Amino acid sequence: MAYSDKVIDHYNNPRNVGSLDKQSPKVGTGVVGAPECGDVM
Amino acid sequence: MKLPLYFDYQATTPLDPRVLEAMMPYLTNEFGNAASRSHAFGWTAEKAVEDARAQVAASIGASPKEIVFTSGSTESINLALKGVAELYSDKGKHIVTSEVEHKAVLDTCKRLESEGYTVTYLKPTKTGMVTRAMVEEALRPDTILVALMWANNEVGTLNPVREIGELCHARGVLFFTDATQAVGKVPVDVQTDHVDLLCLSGHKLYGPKGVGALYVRRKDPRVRLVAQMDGGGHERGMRSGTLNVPGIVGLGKACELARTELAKDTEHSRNLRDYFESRIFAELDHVALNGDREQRLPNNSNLSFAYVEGESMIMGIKDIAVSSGSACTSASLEPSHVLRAMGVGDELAHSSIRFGFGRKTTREEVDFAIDQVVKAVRRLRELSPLYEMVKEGIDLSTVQWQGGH
Repeated sequence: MAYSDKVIDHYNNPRNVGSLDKQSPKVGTGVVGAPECGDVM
Repeated sequence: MKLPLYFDYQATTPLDPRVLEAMMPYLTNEFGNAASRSHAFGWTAEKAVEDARAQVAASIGASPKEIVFTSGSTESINLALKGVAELYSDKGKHIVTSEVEHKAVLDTCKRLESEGYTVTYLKPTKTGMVTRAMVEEALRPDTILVALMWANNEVGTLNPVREIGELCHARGVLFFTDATQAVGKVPVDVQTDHVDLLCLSGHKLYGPKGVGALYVRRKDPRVRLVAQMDGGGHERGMRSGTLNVPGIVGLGKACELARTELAKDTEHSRNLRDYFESRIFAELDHVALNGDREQRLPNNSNLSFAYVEGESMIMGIKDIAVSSGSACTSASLEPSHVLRAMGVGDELAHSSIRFGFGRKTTREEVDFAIDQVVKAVRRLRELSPLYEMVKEGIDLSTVQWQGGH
C-alpha cells in the first residue's frame, strides 16, 4: 500500500510545526499525546 | 543503484540464479509426478526429489530419510507441534515455548491449549534469549515437547540450542527448533546440537517460496508424528499431497549453496552489518540496539531510534525496504510482541527498524541506507517535541501523559 500524494506532501512539507518561545509571557506550554503511539504535541 | 534498495532479507530473499537454473527443467519438460512409479516421467521426478532430500539433509547434518517436504515453515511448525502433541498425549500434555517465538508457533500453541494442552511461555532475557536454566525450571514430569527458535526473526538473537538440546535429551523431552532464520547464517547440525525436530524454509535462503522442510529424527530417539494432512500417504505418511517437484529441487539447491557458501555469506553480511552499525552509532545519538550484540545473526540489525516514530521513519527512508516493530506498519494494533517480551518500552518498540543484509547487498547500498537513515532521524527529531524535551534535560519517564491512542 503506497502513501497518497497528499500524505507525502505533508510529510515532506510539514505544516504548523516548530517551537514557540517558552519564555514569552504570551506563550503557554502543554504537552499532550501518547509517545507509545507516536503522536505527541 | 536501482531504488528502492532491499534491506529486508529476514522477510524473504531473492531467488539465487543458480537455484532457478536447477529448477528450470522441472518447471518445463520434466513435469512428472514423483509418485508415478510406472514410467520415466515419474522416475525422473522422484530422483530429483531424492537428490534434493539429500542436499537438505546435508545442510543440517541429518540423514535424507529424516526430511519431510512441506509448503514452508508455518506448515512444518504446525505438523511438528500438533503431530507430536497428538501422538504423545498419553505421556503428557505440557509444552514449553517462549514469548518471542514466531506467530506460527505461538498460535499453534494457543490452538493446542484450547484442546486441553498446557503451554509454558518462557520470558526471555532483555536481549531476547532463552537460557538452559529457564527451560530446566519449566520442565515438568508431563512435559512432552520444548519448542524454541534457533534465531529470532526480529532481533536476530541466537538461543543456546546445543545446551537446551542436551538438557531435553537428558530429560527425555523432545526438542523442536524453528531454524527458519538460522540455516545458511550459522552452522546447524542436528546431531551435535541434539535437535529432534527442525523446520526450515526455502525463500529465506535464496530458494523459492512455498516450499520448506521438517526434519524428524529417526534414531535416539525415534520421533513419531500424527499426520495433519490426510491423503495419499506421501512423505512416509507424514505429509500427503503431490510433491512440489520444482520447489523441492530449488530448496535442495538453495540448501546446498547455504552449506557450501556459509562462511562466505556470513563474512559478507557481518562486515556490512558491522560497518552499518558503526556509522549509525557514530552519527546519531539515542540509538538502541535491540537483541544480543554478540549472540546474534550476522545479517541482522534491529535498532530503535528514540523519539522518532516507526511509521514516519519508514516514510523518511522510503528508498530502502525495511520492516518496523511499530504497530503502524503491521496488520495488528500491537507493537512487536518480541520487543515487548524483552521488556523494551512501547516508545522504543515503536521506533524500531529491522535492517537485513544479504548475498546481494553492496557497500555502496549500505552507505546510501546510512545516509538516508541519518537524514531522516535528524529531520524527524527536529520536529519531535520529545527530543526537544530530552535536550532540555527533562526525564520523559517522569511525564504523566494524558489522552493519546
